Amino acid sequence: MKSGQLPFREARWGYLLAAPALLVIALVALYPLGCTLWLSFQQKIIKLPWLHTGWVGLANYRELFTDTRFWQALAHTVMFTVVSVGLELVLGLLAALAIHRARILTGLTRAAVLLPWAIPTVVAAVMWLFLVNPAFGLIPMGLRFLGLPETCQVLLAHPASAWAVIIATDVWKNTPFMTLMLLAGLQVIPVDLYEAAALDGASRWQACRRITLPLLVPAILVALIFRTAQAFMVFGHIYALTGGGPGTATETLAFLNYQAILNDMRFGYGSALSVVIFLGSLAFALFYLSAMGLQVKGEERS
Amino acid sequence: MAGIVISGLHKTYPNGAAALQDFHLAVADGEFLVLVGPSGCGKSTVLRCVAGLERPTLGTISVGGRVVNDLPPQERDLAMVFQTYALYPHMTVFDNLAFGLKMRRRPQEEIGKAVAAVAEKLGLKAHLHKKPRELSGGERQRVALGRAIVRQPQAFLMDEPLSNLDAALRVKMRTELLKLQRELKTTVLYVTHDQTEALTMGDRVAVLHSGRLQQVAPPREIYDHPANRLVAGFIGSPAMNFITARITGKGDGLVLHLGGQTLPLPGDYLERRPGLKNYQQKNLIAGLRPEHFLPLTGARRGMLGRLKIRVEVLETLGPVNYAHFSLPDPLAGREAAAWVAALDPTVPAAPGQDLEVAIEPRHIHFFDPETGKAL
Repeated sequence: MKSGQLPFREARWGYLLAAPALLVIALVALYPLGCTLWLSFQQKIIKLPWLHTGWVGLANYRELFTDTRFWQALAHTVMFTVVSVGLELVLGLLAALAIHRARILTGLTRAAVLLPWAIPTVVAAVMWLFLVNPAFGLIPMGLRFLGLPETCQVLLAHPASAWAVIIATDVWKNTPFMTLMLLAGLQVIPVDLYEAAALDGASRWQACRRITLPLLVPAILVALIFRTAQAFMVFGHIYALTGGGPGTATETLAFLNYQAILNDMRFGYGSALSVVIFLGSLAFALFYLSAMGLQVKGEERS
Repeated sequence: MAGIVISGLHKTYPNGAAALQDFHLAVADGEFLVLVGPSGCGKSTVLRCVAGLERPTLGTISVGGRVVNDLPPQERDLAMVFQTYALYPHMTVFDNLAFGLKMRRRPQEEIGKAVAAVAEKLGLKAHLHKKPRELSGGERQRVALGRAIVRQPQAFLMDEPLSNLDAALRVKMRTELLKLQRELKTTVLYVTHDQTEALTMGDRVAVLHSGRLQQVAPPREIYDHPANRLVAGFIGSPAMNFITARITGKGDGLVLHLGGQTLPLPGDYLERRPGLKNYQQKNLIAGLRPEHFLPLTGARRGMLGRLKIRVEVLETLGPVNYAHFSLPDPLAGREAAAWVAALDPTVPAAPGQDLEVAIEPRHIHFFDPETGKAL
């Protein structure tokens, strides 16, 4: 209901009741955001205090958009997001379909399925660090067993295999989340639709493609929003596994941001990067929301 | 088109609950057979076994002379109309109707023609591009029917298809459905808990109770000659009145004791109802339908048994008044039996009023008190 349709007194009450929440949002979200925006037009390098500190206009943004390291980090981030979320979607969907069909999700299995997701990112990453440790890790041991050359066994030393480890960590950790979201979506599809489809002559595969997947779209969209936003901000895996290396081969936007501010102490430049990342994820969120909105409207109409 | 033959069907669920026991039923080709029973009696289980959605524990099901026990639902060539309609919510009406044909890989052109023909027949032409949620209950119901018709299956299975409609629409759809079936001459196995639907729609009615088939017969016969007390009590609304009774005397002194009163019976009563012969001087259950209470007027005065009643509640429905009263039931050792009489509105009656009503002995049903079998 639009507030315009409410009598004035009620509308005023509404604003009054919402005010504390709005105030908190302003304090913890809008204020820091404003500060960041303000900083992004300044030169402020704490490591080099003798340099000019103060207003430099768009200089930080100009530098950012001509910096190949930024474009590289953006490409890495997009690649990571697409590949890992894509893998999680496919694996999560398969797992959800299997669990749904077999009806094996008791309390215990649910806990087991959720376990990787409940582990903090850095802890998970350190676990994988052990797994890929060239001296005693399980994976290099396996590679040695397969007779691969020594150099291949130092997985984090090569850009491609380093990415593989990062993505594997993310997929391992977040597929359970995807599975549960999609399972919830599967469970609200009425059974009699499948029965009607069976009598209509649809094979299991046809029923899956024509009934299950279309009706699962809302659940898939919600799961994708959560996962994409998270993946786009990936930092923990990079920090704990590769530190952005080898070289800058696994640097993502969030990691580059961390480097600029906390390593190089370039608060102005780092803030400019923060603003760009913020705008990027805002665009993402708006895109998904409008896709969802279409979905919701479609549901209402139909 | 084909008949359905179900023989020796048993269904026991893994938890040990027996849903069906030794169920036999033959639906003739082109017949509209209604399977009726209270909820939980196993009637939907029968339908789901025929459809292939559930596996019978024992017994065979054949459609058109072909045993289908081991065929999946996809290959049985049956269509089912669900209580919830089970329309595909993300598809348009056209796609809902076309789904079965598409799955069977019919040519596009044929699908278009078939769907158009069915939409025309069911008055859905204007709705073909709409999604199910945009339709009213009655329209959705018609889409569900259309989806079954368009494929021209061997037989239709209908699981309470009208029970989600409001009362007026249900009555309308009842006749529409019947007209449609007469026109298509398709075999229909129709499941309902509504005895009115059963009586008005079925060529024959099968009454199921607690997983056991009680009687299969045309509606008139089910109503006039229920095979046992369960059928008698289930078919008819308001339900048949029951009370424990006893026949004593001989010849012209033959009388029926019920409710602490006696009704004279004609001398040849036992000759005409040979089933009663062995029950003289014994308790039996007498049943009387509410409409068989007659006003005590004119010519009837002399010839009939009379029952004195005291009206407790009077329901005025317009064409008929329902007088609720209780009869003491001393033979059964219980306080009283609650009875209903459907009285002509011209009979003056009011709550608390004492009334005498007439009963024709031929209208009384008798049942064995142990087995419930009609005598």
